[in-house]
Amino acid sequence: MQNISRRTFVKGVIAAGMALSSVNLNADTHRIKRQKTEELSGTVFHLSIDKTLVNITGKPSYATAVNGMLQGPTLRWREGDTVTLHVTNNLDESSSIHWHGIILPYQMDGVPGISYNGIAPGETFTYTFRVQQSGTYWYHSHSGFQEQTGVYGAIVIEPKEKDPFAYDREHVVVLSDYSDEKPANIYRKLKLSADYYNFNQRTLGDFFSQVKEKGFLEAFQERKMWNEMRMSDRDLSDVTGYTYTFLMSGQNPATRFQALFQNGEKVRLRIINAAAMTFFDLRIPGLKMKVVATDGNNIQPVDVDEFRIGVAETYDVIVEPEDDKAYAIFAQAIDRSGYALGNLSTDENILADVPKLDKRQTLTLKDMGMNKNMSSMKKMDMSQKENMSSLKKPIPLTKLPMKWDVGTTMRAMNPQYRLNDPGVGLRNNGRKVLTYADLRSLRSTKDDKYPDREIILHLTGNMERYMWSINGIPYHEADPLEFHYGERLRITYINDTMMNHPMHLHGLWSDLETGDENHLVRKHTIISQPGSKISFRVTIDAKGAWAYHCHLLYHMTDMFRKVVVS
Amino acid sequence: MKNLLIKLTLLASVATASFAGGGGDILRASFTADSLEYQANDEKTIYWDTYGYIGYDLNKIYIYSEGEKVDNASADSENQLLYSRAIAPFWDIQAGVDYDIAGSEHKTWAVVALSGLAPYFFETRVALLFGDNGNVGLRIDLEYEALITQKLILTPKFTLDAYSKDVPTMEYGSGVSNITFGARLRYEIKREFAPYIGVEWSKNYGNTGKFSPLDEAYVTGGIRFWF
Repeated sequence: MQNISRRTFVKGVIAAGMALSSVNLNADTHRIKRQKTEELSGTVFHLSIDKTLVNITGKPSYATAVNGMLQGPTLRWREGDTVTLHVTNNLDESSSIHWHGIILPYQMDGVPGISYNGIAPGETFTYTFRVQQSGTYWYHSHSGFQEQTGVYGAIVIEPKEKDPFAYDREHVVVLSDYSDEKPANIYRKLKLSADYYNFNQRTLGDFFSQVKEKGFLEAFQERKMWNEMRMSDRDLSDVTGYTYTFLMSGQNPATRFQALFQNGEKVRLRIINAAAMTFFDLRIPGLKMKVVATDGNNIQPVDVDEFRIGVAETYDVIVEPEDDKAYAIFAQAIDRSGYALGNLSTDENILADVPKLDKRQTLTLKDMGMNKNMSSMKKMDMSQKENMSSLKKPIPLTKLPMKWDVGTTMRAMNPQYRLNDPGVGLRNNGRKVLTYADLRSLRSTKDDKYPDREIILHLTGNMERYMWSINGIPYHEADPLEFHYGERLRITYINDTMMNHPMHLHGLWSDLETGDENHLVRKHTIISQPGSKISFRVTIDAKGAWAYHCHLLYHMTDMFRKVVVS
Repeated sequence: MKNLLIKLTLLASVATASFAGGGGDILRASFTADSLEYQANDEKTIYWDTYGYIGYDLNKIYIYSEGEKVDNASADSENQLLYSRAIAPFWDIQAGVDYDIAGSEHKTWAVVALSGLAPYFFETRVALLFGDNGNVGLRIDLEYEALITQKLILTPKFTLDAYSKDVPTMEYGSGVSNITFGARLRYEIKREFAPYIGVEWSKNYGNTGKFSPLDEAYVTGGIRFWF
């Protein structure tokens, strides 16, 4: 089962040994050499988006890079400054940059068709806004599938007041996934055959070993639900290491991202998942990580061995590596089809041992939103039990249109809050794995306004046809969501699919209900686990039109809503 | 034809690239040769079973072509052109025309079909054909994919044809006319390209058996590909 990861590794080795100059693609005016990612700071920035020749896998391909850098430059801002960013589009198609998680006027948000028209080929758009927050963020293109081909980078914002934790050095660790295949081709393949990239499907052998273990009847019963629903319990990632090379700060596993420290230093790692489609499970074998912030916001520190980082999320951790030792920063893809790798050491010539990929896990009935006990299925109460004790009083529900039809293959019959569930592949692995239940904001939320009303959003899809939607309705058929300026809204997701969806609401903070009413944690991207339920609150404090969507690139086209705040 | 399909696909990709959200339902065209094979039977048959479509998530135009050519004879085939519409998460309803060719003879039918994925992952297609003189035909295809490894795939297949009336010129007879059981073992070098070997047993029944006696088991070999 390790063959795909080996292949990824080999691809990297070839890449490392191949000189760019030996490559002869058709001569092209867009030919720009890939630059090493740099940090830019100040208040005025010039960014250009170019078609850039890169070699990530051993084969040359065209990326779309910011300032020639695959992983664009890291932008360092200061809280309170007004920043001006001139973004020039040198592509032959429309482009854009969205400042992910940044609170700003909607016209500066950078989403074509929502907040502006995008940046036409050859044009420059100037963004300018006051920076009102601090922490770790990122930016990316919101045009077509440009994000996968390279238009993304990190943002680090220095706080006005010192952070409430100490560290001596910091590194920005950006996780991403790169393919030589054109994103439009990947998307087309998914539409033609949704399991195209899944090479971890059920085999006859699996079934026979189950029969051997449990007897035919029980093995058959166990498969029954999946077979009847025509769903696969091996469906963890739509796009996998079969086509993706997983990068850490622009480096493939063979060239390894180097994070250096000096003896005795505390190191802050700003970890950003800038992947198009990949969830990563990150750990540094031999080191505890103290998680101090998520999505740019400081939290009450929590020590963990490992955490899952959804697409678009960020986590800041502090580690205290021992002198003269090398540690692997190991980020496995959720489906274990490969990994991104970094080397944390005092000397880049000291390389850490690379951990083995974990065993692949399968989804359970819990991930389908079913009761574990199959016999109780039929008499199951359709109304969901409220197990969040934190609600003081009922909140009026605003009903939204729903459509259960061709576009939906599954409905979670008994979705549960699963805040303390680390998710498939991380359950009971012997390590302390971060869950949302561990996240408690540093600031008190005791006096935050109680929600005025609630809406429920079903995250829906038809995996067989590769269709995605919200409430069964794809974006192009949906009316905008209307939020009222000044209100406090409670939003509940019910995930009626078998995938994790990283849901991102632009322009407004999402206060996640983690069980501790007094310390709701503030996030910009919230993972909704398969077959589960999760709730958060939003103070509607910014007028305008905002995008609201699943951050998986190939779900985003339809699992998308325009939000209008007036 | 192929150029046109590629062009349409390209146009669709360009359109998607300019949207941030929406436009996910891209126009796409695809062609699949499920079987393209040599059958080592008495007649040494070249057999094909193919389909192609152009369209969107829910609405498509399909072409199906299945047929065979034996040594020193012209090809026999069943060809359908259909409008296909999704009516349920796993099911499409299809309607259009069927054009059958048998030697120098040909026959046109109106077709209504149900196509999709049945529980337990059976690829299913049931087509009803309506001909002149009130002749009604039924064609059922069932296929299952069993993975031996991720790339080595066994595909058992069952087909049944039946007609309400005799059509001697086309060598169909009333009642169940043919039943075929087969299994093909393919190796996917790429998802899009897989050579295979297989065994099949095919028998003609009733009047069809009289017009065209057939009861044989044979070995097949060929390629499956799509783009």
